[in-house]
Amino acid sequence: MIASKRAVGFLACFGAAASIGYSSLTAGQAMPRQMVKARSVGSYVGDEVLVKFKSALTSQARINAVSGFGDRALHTNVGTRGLTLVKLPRGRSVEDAMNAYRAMTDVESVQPNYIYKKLLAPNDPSYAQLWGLHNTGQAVVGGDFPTSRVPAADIGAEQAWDMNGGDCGSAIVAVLDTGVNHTHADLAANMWDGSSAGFPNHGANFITGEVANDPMPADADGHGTHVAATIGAVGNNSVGTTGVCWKVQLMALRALTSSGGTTASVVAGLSFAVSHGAKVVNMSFGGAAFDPAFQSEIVNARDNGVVVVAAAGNDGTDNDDPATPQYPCDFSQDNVICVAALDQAYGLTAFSNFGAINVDVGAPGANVLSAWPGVTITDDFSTWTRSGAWSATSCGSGAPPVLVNPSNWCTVGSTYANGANDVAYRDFDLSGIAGSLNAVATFSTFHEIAAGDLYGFARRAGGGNPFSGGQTVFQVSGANALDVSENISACIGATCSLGFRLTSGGAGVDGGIAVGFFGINTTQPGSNVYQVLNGTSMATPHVSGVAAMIWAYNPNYTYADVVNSVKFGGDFIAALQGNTVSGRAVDAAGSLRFVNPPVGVTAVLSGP
Amino acid sequence: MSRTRYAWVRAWATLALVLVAAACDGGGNGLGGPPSITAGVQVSWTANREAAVNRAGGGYRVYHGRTSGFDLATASFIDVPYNSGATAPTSTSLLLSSGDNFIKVVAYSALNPNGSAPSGEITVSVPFAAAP
Repeated sequence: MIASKRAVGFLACFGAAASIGYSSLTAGQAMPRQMVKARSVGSYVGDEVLVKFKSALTSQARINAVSGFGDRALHTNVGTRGLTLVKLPRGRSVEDAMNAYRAMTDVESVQPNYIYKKLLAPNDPSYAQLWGLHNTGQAVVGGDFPTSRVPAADIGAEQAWDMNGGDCGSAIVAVLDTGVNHTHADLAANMWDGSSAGFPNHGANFITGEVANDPMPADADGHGTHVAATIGAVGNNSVGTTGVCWKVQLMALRALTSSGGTTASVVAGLSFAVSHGAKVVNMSFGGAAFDPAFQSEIVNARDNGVVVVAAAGNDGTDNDDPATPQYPCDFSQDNVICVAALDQAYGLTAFSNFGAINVDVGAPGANVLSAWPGVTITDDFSTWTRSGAWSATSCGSGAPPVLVNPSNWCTVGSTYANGANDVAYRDFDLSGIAGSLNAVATFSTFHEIAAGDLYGFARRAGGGNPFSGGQTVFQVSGANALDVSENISACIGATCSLGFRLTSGGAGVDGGIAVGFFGINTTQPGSNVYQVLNGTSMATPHVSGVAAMIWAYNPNYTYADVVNSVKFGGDFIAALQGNTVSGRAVDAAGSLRFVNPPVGVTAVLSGP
Repeated sequence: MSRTRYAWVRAWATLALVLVAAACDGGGNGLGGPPSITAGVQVSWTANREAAVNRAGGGYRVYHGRTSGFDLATASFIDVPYNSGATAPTSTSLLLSSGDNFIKVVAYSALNPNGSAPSGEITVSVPFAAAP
């Protein structure tokens, strides 16, 4: 027993000694040709090398030397140093040739003939605005997010396009959102073709009460179209912007309205995406509740090898804090990539959520220009017809315009009057958007209405007081904050009035009504409209595009390979250290270059 | 193990213990002892799924060293480049010396000549020659 222990000690030490001997042993032997230390493997011409002969050698002597190896000299005086460009015969490797020339006393140096390519930039007219793809330090026209600007703080899109031409065409990316205007001039050619599956409109609609395969699973809000075009606006088509992917298959899934979605709509949309072949699902939305039904669907996506890319959220809070969770970001399934938003200097935006456990990576999410479904009609209440105490005002300098009742609503403690029958409305002439596919009035409102009193919203074709011969959309009392979207497609090409009314009885008053952010969103066929937005919603599709690109480039990848490449192919960013799992900003080129470590390594003795 | 060989190993083990300090700490060479041999070792691994590993300019490097956790930067390796077909080769033969050898595999591509993080390290022991 003791003897065998000693033997082990002996062998261990002898092993170390033997390794020293090993070097000298092999040095004198014929080395396997591949056994070259510290060789760099670059992208170079496979059958050429560049040799620097000593200057004293004549051209003929150089040619002779080259011929002596069975090679052929293509040029004998390349560049200032007079390099000889050598063509190698079939079967002779660049390494063999380099070793052979290096051993010659007449040779000063030898190197591969490296390949250089122009970096690919698309011809889309607004490309120069897309700092997230190529940051030149540009200011974004219409961008309202204050940020410093650092050139090259971007996702490395041009280097990636140089490798694959922006082609993500084999990957289906589902945009689970407010829908997508699939007729948009910069999106139509990149929409998923669901005809054979019975979905000729490039997706489906999961909003309860709407037609399942609506001819418009299109976007009545704008958010989904914006997100979709960041993933895959057609690139290099001389129109608008370009996506991370120049070519891709975008599946339009309408699971949110302007005021959001539900477990039912989101789960149905995700299930559809998985069962109809999506490889990546973009989820630029979130909620604070842990939702077991939603998680089950995420698990189903994982089990079908589908990557889910989720927004971290725009509250500026820590998603790891049990008080401020964010789902789907915080779901622990490893097919979920959660994305924080970076500014134009690759700082973390103040609005972006973060989380060392739950938020994986960062991506550009401020001043992001992308497609929009159609023109947006904005309104500041300045031209509204008002009766009673309705007032168009603003609660302080820089605050947005609001329509209020009572007129001093901005003063805390103010109340409306008894006996009111106050109406405020405006006639909207929508003849200018004739031919639109959809029109939606959207606004935010906050109300405190005493029992028995009423706050109403109505519309009327042809214009005039909408509470006289029009349709009342809602009539409520109590206290609530609402984001309203009201479909007014019936008004397209005509005039419609939209308005509010406060009616109060003889007793009991409350704080009243404020309405803001009033506008009309249109969905226009062939829209060529674009808009700048901020949010982790805008960062997320950059990552979905990269994920699709990785998958298209590596068709044999598993979802886990894609997730690894996204997370670990990026660049370390100071602002993301400690705020994210990876500490990295997503980089398309880095992710394409990323190589997973080999697995399943075994070694067996095969003989002496 | 024959009686003769057992005695031989025990004798050398005793001597080795005497010499360990000098040989290991001093980095001495030429310890003597049973003759080291080189043996063929077949190393295999699972094919990487990166497209670029499995085309021209891609492949694997199989590093080997004599200590666990050896440094790739100064280690010997065999290059196993892509040649033809669907995937780069997923095995190669090494000639390794008696004793413990440690092996790690790195995948690379034309896009990423430096290659992946190394695989997990494995060990293969090459026996010593029989007693002279």
